[in-house]
Amino acid sequence: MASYMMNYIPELILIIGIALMVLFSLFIDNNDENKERLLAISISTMAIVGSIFVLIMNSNKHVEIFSNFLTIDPLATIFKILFLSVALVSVWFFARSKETNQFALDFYVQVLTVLIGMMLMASANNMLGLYLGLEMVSIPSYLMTGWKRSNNGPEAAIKYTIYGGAASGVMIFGMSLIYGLVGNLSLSSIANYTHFNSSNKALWIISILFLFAGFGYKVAAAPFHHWSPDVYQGATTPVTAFFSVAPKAAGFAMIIRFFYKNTITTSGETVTHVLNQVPWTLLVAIIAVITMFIGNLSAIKQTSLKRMLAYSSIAHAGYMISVITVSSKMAITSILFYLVIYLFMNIGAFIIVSIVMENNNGSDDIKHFNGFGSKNALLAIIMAFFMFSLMGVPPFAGFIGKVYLFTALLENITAITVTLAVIAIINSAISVYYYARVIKAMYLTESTNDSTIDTTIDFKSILFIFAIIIFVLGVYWAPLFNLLNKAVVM
Amino acid sequence: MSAIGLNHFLILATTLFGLGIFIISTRKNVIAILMGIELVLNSANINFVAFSRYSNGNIDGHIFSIFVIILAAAETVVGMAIVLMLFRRYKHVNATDLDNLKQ
Repeated sequence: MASYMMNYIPELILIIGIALMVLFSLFIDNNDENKERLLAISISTMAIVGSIFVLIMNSNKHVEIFSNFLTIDPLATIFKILFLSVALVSVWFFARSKETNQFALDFYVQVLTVLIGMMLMASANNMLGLYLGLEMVSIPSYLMTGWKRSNNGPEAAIKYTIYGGAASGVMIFGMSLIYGLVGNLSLSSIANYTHFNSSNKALWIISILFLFAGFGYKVAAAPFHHWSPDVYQGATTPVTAFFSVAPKAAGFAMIIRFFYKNTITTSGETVTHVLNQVPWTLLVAIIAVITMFIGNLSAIKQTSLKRMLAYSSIAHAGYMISVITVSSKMAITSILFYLVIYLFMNIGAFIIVSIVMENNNGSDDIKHFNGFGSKNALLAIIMAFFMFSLMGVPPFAGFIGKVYLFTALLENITAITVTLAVIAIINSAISVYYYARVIKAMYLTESTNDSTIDTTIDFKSILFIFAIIIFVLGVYWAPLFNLLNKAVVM
Repeated sequence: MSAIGLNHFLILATTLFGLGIFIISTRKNVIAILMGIELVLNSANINFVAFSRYSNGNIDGHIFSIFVIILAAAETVVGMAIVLMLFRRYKHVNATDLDNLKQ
């Protein structure tokens, strides 16, 4: 019994954390908001750290629990550690940023709830689990977006709610069709479906298309991306930093679970999956191409830096989606590797944007970056590191991440993969333009005002650590890559 | 008159789905759009229950639809709370006029 419980201890720790927060808040004087906030931050930090610790201790487990409802395997564990690490950085960011440091205890309850939802998405072995996880992430996310009632929070939140509700509705309609075809909700029985023939092919294509409404919405892929720029711009910056990495990674976990279930054996061979008979690779390839172009071309004309980073994150999702078309172990490993690198460079960039916003009355316009290089040399050089890494310039980690993505794409040369690789490289070239615009503003443009940009020591040290990681992973990435490669066993 | 079978339910569900999508894409009032989402969710519910009753005989579909009902309720509560917040701030709930976040 106790050993069975060990499988879901990480989730249990988070649930206990939520319960304790709510319980303890009853004993704290109502007017003492600082005490309440301190309690929330310390309990959520402890819960997240405890959860990471338990996951690392049991990282080699490979079991199915709750009558095959959840799969606990190294892949799910890696994804869970990724979500928890993002949350750990985010809790610090929520607590320290001037935009969010007045948020009360209930905000941290939402953060932990989103975490549990993402962990469910990463290990669900059942369509019901995928849907529950998706909604457990989405519903608290709507609240987190609109938490700050001034600014544009409410507008962003209602747009998120409408898009999210519609996307998940279309997705479960697709799931209901698949349930009608297969007669079962488990992903293994979908993979082993044997009654495939030309008469139900159309139905399969329609259901996969409908499912992609949900998947595409979660990873912000075109044409389901419209919520993302508005939400990223309207939400407070720390919340945006959290959204830009964690739920996106959870969306990829969900896509990998759905399309790769039982297709890769321990020895790394690929076996036939019902979905291989449906031309879903072509659908995914089309989505990837549209996503890359829309992301990069729309980012060019943005003046709000948060909005620009939103479009850039759509483009990065496009690079990763194009690799989904290849069903191989290498493809999953390269996506995981890219997500880890993406965590550091994207959250780092958002931290700097929030520092600049704090020093310029909360405006994230690119003109406030003018002369940043002479105002604060250290922060500017770190921002340049993140921008170069997002561009994919050597010797930074973003370059290695892209190299692995393209390697995975070109492992099996087909018309689709070659086209995708060429388009991805063209898009990387387009992306240089808008990232370089930030660097140009920082170093080559004179500032129009004489405001200073500075921050506290903890912001500086975290940014410094992130920059070091970006640089080190760019020259010595093998240990991380091998670690992730070992985890991809399904 | 033939007896009511699976196809009748599937046609009903598809019609409801189409109406839901139509409402989501044409209505201006945010509350009406949330009602359209509700229609889409319920069309999936009808599908699940009909497939469960007529073609498979297992109860997975029933369980899924109960979960959908619960989550739809949660989503509506959150949605209405946000609509209230929106109304306090802008004094209207018109989706087409919410364009502060455009460039």
